[in-house]
Amino acid sequence: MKRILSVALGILAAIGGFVDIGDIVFNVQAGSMFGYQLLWVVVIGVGGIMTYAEMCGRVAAVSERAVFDAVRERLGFGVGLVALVAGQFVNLMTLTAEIGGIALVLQLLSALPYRVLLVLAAVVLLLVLWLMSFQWIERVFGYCGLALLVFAVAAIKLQPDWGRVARGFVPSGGSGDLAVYLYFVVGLIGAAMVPYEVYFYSSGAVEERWTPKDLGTNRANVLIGYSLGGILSCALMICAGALLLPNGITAELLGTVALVAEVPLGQIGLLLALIGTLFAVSGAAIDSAFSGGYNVAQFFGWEWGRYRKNAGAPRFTIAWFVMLTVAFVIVMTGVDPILVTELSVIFSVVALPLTYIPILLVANDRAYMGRYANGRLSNVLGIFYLVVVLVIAAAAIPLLVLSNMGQG
Amino acid sequence: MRLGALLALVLGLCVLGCGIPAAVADQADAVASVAAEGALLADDAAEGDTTAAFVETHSEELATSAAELADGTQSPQLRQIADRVVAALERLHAEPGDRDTAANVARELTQAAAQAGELAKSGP
Repeated sequence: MKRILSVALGILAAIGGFVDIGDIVFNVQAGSMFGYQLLWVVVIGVGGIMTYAEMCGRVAAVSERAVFDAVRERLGFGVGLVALVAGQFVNLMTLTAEIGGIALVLQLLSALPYRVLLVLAAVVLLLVLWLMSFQWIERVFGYCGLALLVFAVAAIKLQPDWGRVARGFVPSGGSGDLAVYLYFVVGLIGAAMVPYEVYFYSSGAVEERWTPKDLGTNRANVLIGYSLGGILSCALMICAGALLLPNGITAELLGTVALVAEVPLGQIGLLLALIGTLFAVSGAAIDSAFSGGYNVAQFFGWEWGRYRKNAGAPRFTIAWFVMLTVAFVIVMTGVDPILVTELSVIFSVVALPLTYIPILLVANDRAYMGRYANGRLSNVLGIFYLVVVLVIAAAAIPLLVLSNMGQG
Repeated sequence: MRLGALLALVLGLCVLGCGIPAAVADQADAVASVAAEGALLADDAAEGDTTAAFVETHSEELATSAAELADGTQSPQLRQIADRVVAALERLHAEPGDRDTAANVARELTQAAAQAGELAKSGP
């Protein structure tokens, strides 16, 4: 039982980070427009986040320091500050989108007014962030988010053409508008590798007081958690490819995501899809709010961590509280959470190199990591994904404009 | 400062530029998409395979999308189809638990989706 609970961090990072509102929206949109043709991109994205999350967890376990400690130390104050501002901007957009997403899911469950549900979402998030221990946050939001597995069942029930699904895992040029296709390639990798996932994961490892003895737990978290996230992403895309594409439906709304579980599985499918999405999006909101607090506190060398309680790390507490408040004010202005989601994913792609370059440098530093520094495999994968990240970071904004945000 | 201005410009262009497609064929595709999705929703409502809250909320969202498309098109024929889609979805929104209404709405929306699809194929 203890072993099962020990992978909760990975499951929360995967459910609340990998399968957040950005991933849900991008996967279903991609499936509704290109069927199974983009499944290979999910594999690339999962490989990327696994590679770097493993490094972050290892660095945290060996050095007891999280990502932003390393960012400032390795990049210096000036460049580190740019990384901090970029990271916080993306965190804020993500948190705004997630709060809006929570309200949208609650509305689909209750039909109550959206703005009332926005207030409810913010208050419940505040109470959870303020009162719940890190371990209970992981368990409640990680494990309840597993209701999203309903999409895997729905994918099987929809009886897709498995031959075409299998061919989707082989990279192809794609059919249709090339700019839109490439926009989704960039968006799907970006949604899989959003920076707050590694900020949260490495800080979570410090929160859990990992030591080198926990490196096995780190690998298990990464493998189980992110594989699960990858399976869910593929399931979402397969559902959309099997149901929406043949019916000529382009997914634009969160309700469309729930519909792909409802049509094959009825009311129970709908409810599990909505509950799973609610916990996944709430988990992502918690991850991104805490990430905002962690980043600032680690960069400026303040006390931080949930294990210290709120009064024990006052500036960290103020940092996440301000983050939550600003995101709530933005979403209350009436911005469309789905639009913010798409923009946050694309802008996070631009910020990816600033997150991943220092992680690779630190994890590779034998003076810092000793015998736990990167081996050959970690370095090969790390450099491969760094090239991927640099290419998509350069392409993200031009593709956003050229593809009219994936609208063609 | 320059980077901030550039980001603001990109954001502004994206927010203003996305939403309603410019060509009638693309607009017709978008109307067909909303109508087809509404038909799936109404079908499930007619079968009792969903919840009233979901039908009420999602049909309203779809009606809003269809209304935006109706307002944004220059084609009178497409506007007529989009208006019918809006009216059908509003009926579903008003009576989310009524299976007979849902069955009728499903038929109307299936027909509207087919008509909009035809228009998309024939249009520029």
